[in-house]
Amino acid sequence: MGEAADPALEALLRKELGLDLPLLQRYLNWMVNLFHGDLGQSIRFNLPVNQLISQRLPNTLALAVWSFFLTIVIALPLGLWLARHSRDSAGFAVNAFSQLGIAIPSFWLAILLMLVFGVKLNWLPINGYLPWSVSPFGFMRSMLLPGLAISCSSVAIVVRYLRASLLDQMLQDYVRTARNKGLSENVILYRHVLRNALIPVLTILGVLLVNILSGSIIIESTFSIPGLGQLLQTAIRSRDLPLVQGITLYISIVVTLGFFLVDVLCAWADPRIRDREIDYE
Amino acid sequence: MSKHSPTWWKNSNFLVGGSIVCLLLLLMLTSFFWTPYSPTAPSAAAKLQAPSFIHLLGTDHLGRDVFSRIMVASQTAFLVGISSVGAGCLLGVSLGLTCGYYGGWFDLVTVRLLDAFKAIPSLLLALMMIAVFGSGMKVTVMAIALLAIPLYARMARSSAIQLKNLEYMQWTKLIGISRRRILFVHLLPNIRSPLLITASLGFASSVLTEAGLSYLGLGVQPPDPSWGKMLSEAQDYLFNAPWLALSAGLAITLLVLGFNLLGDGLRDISDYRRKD
Repeated sequence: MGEAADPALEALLRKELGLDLPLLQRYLNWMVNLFHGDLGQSIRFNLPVNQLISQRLPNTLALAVWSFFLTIVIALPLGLWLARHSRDSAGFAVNAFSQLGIAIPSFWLAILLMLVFGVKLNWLPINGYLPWSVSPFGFMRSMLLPGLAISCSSVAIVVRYLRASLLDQMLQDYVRTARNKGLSENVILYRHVLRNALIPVLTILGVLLVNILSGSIIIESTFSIPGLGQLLQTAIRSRDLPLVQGITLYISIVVTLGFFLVDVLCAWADPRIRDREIDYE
Repeated sequence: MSKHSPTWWKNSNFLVGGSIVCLLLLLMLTSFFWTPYSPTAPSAAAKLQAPSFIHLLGTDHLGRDVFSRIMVASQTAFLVGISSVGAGCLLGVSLGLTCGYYGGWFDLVTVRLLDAFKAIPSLLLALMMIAVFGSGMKVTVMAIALLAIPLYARMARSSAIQLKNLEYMQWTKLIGISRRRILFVHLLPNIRSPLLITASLGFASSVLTEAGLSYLGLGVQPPDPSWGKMLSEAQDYLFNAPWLALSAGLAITLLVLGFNLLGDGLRDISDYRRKD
């Protein structure tokens, strides 16, 4: 509605959107509807918020899971390799690499990747989204660049933690015992050290989840992927507050569930955590 | 990193980070009274020129000098960073210190609230505020500054809890020093090194958030200059003028890298990490 809107029409619209009610009443209504699984009606699309979100959520989740997968597939071998070849110069290189990986904004990396692999080499598509259900290979091909852009900073974080944790474990007594027993370095690394070294890495998975989700909100617009991030942008541009509220709620639920899963995973991997009392800070 | 406690001139993180930050700070200060060209005047004759000695980083789709625009846009980045550090230090630290030192129900409620903030990615919270209050320089700066508060509060709170049980802190209470004086004269100076680290890393993440918001077109709006906005404009000319996409991204990366290195260097120096 413009500046010179008809007051009668304005009043009608206010009533329709429920804006004539007091603030507390509106919040209460929203909460009551929420417990009935109803997030309200989108102003921009005139469709239920739930319906809009459920169309887009699978794409965002697929991108997040894919980026997570890429993070692990790249970071784990890299961290192991770096821990085995640990010299002072390697330490410097790891520091430089991980600092750069964390500092590069994901959207700039995305543009650089597009420039190199899309525009110059013409190997990979720079936009267009193929859902996993249509063609798994097409999904992986079209999502390789977005996935790499999103997971870069996570890879840097994991490599840093993993290497430090591996080097820390290598100095422990049980490694010396294993060596004296005559086990090969490979058996020591993969059967004994890696298991222990992964526990501190598990605790940062929650941070990675937040990292990957915020990354995908931005990257979706770079590669025009029809996910929650793109929907959120449209919602903000058109001041569609019920939709913004709904999307925020969904993402917070995903993050909270993720944190919970990480806690369970940590307790499962390390019985010492299970016995410890939960302390806040 | 190294075995012995490193001092600042031996710490490469600190030195490299500090130099990058100083360089960019100098560039930002210079931009207030001098830029090679006008950052806003369009020139039809000089559209999309490649980098050369005349235009160091080339020109954009309206013929504006990119280097001048990068310089002016650094003001926005520093403004966002400084205001988030300011809000964090003033509001976050006082909240955290008070909670940590006094404890009690107020502390419990605050901790729960701070935990709740963790569940929503800060980018999303900033987007939510922008959805309510509209985009633009003022809202972006305020949103990012507000979101920095929990980070500082958490740090100050855990430091205060660690410190308050130390013997000399108990003594301050015994000899009857007022609570306000204990908080700000005896506690505050002791958290300066974790505070410096948090501020340095917080500065970097605020710059990154602002760049992301402006890149989405929801943060700083033209004519206000911003690196993120420049990057999203450059994306439309990826085929004709790929160099446009390099400079703004490099500027963001350098500033973030500089402050991250500075923070990590400070952490090494103050040996803060070895405590946990």
